[in-house]
Amino acid sequence: MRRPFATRARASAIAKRYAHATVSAGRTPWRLAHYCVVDLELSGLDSRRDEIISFAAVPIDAGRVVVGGAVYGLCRPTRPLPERSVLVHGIRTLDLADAPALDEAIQPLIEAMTGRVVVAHVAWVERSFLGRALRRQGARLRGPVLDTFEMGRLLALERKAPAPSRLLGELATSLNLPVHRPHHALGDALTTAQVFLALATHLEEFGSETVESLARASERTRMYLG
Amino acid sequence: MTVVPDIVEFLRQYPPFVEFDPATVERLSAAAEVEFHRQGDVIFSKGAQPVEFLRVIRTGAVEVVSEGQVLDLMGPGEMFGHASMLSGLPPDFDARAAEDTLTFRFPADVASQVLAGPRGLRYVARLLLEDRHHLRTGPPSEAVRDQLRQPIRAAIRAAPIILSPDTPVREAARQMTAATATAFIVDLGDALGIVTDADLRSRVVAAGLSGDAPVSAVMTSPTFTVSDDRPGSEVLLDMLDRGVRHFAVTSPTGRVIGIVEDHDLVAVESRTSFSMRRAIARATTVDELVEASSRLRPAVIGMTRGGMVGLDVMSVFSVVADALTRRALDLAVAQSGESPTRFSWLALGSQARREALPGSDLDSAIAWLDDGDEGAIRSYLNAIATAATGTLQRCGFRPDEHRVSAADPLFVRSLSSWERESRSLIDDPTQKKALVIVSVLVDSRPVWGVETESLIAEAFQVASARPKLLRLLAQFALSHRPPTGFLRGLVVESSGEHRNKLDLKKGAVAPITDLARWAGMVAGVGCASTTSRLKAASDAGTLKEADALSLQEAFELVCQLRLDHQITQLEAGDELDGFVDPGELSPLIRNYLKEAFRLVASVQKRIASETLRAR
Repeated sequence: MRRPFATRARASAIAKRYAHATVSAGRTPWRLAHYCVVDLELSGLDSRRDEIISFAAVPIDAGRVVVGGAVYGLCRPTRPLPERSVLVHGIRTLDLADAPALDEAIQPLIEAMTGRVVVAHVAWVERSFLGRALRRQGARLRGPVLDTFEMGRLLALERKAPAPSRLLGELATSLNLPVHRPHHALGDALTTAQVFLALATHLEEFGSETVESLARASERTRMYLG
Repeated sequence: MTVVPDIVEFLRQYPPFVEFDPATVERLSAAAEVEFHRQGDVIFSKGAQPVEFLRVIRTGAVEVVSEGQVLDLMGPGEMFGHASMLSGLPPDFDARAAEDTLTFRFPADVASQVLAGPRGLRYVARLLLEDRHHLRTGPPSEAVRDQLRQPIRAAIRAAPIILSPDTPVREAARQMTAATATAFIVDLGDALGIVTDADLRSRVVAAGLSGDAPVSAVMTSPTFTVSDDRPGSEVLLDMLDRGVRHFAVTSPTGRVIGIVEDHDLVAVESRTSFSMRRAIARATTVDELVEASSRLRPAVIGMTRGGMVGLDVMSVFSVVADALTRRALDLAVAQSGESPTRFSWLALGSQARREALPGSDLDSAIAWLDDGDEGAIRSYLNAIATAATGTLQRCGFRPDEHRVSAADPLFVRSLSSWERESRSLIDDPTQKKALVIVSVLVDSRPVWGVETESLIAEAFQVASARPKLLRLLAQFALSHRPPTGFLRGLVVESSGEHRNKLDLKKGAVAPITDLARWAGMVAGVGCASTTSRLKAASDAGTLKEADALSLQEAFELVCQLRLDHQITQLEAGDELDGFVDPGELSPLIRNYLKEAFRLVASVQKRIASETLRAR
């Protein structure tokens, strides 16, 4: 039997904790901050119309990926999945029939993000979908959100190397890192986490990095290009 | 708990995790943390606090450094830090990232628990015992590999049965059975005899001999003996070469301390080379010989995959190639009728050095001994050479691309003509192509016909007294430079069919064998394997001990790579070649290879400045 009110009330409690947790300050040296690397699989890229169907989060503490802290989950969409999205991630509408709906399913993700700086690859996608999901629970997505794609562009500029690919797998390969199961939220989250460690470590060759300076990767890239 | 399948799957590819049950690996992987180390970063240092984590390399490479020396280079799947973690003692080396490296680290409480299981302990014990300085190109070595690298005395399993010649066969058989021995020695006072299981079957039972007959009636004498300090691989080759399966092992005082049989030395895969030798010797037609030879390549695959060292596999392959060559000649001679002259068939090049690979050309030459009608002799020998090379081709040996072959009249000469030619080359090494021909002829070994020591190589023994020839040979040896100007990986062929591939023969094998030939000649060694030449040159002081060792290590690595490459091609049914795609090599092997090329180049440079300056 469904109890929407109870669910909503529990959701608010987790969301409230998320909203009030202390997150590493912007000036924290990057290795001392706590991160949550997030990857979402979606039914499409339009956050007004499309839905989160699967998510994964991997924590980073003290500059190391904590594998045991990984979370992964599926969300039941409200509408059948468009065929083109099935082709990307291989998840079909019927695979999600028994999954909880978004508001309930996403609770472990909100808990995983609590007190942590969110990291994602091509982060505007995660930013807009997570923002919407959190608003439904009466919370806001807390900034900054770090973007490994922007960090990769910045590193390439610093090294006077050609701009990197937008594709996570290609970026990981160019850094001599493994590519985990692509288009599977858990695989992509792990790949992104490892890419983040490598990029932040390499960027330190050019000066110390803080949460804030990494968050400004895109702005720094633009300043470079002048 | 969310299991991350990729990490579990990765770990389960490598020992010791491959032997653990899935739940154990899942428990371990849940405790994993992923770290990134930039090239040059020190992960832990010698003498620091005991390590509290077990680490496994995910991608990249980690160097083991002590006293400024790189002792080992580890690649994906290899673990480190366990010795310090388990012992609670400070690490006895620095672990340093040799390239950008991703590692998993597991906290001691979880890792120790997993490694403390029987499987984990066995693995760790082996790792700790293993000589970490030895170049390894594969997973931890197996018993097979160890057995061949150790002195033969290590293969002795029990004290030998030694009987007097008048012992009745029945009594001997009783003692063999009691001791589960497969052979015994007959002490003749001034010589030894041997009787094996097979002898009892064929010479006693099948022949209907009485059990009261004395063992002297059924023994084989003299018996091959081998001193107990010779390496297993050499003994194995001797056994193969002579076609015997039992050897008496003697102590330095000449006492028989054991009997070793092929079973004690090699795994099932390489034992097939013995039965193959019998099949080869028994072949009475070319078709039977071709049939017998068809087992050679599968045997080579088996030996390589079974963990036998590349150089040993190549020696076994060369010995079997000798046997095939001999039988091919027996058959050719039987076909062509009586020869107008005695003659000797010489193996040249890699077969002469016993360093042939399945894809090697079998170079050959003929020397005839008697005077007579040269036209008749030539036409007879030409028929023999054509038939023999044709048979060998059917046995899977390709004809020589460079036509260094007894089927070419240039390589068929009378012995006196060869000697004249050799002397002339020695006296005037500036003749056209003299150095190439000298190099070819020094690596020559008679495999069929007149039983003499290497006929032509002998002529070159005097060469050590010819400084001019040796200097020119040194120059020649130094003219092949290994690729050292690395640009993202390894220098490769820039054009042609093998574009972007690495020519291991030209790049590394030739420079090392050329140097070893020269150094061996200076030390007075004629035809011999590259390994023995290097050793002789080191003993004689022609090469510095460290340089000889460097060349030897580089040679072993490159031979192993060439063999592994050809084995992969054999398994895939591809054409055999020596061109390796550097992209397909693991970063670990690539690094070793770069290091090997660097070593060869630096030895060459040193020799160039020391030797050639002296003129």
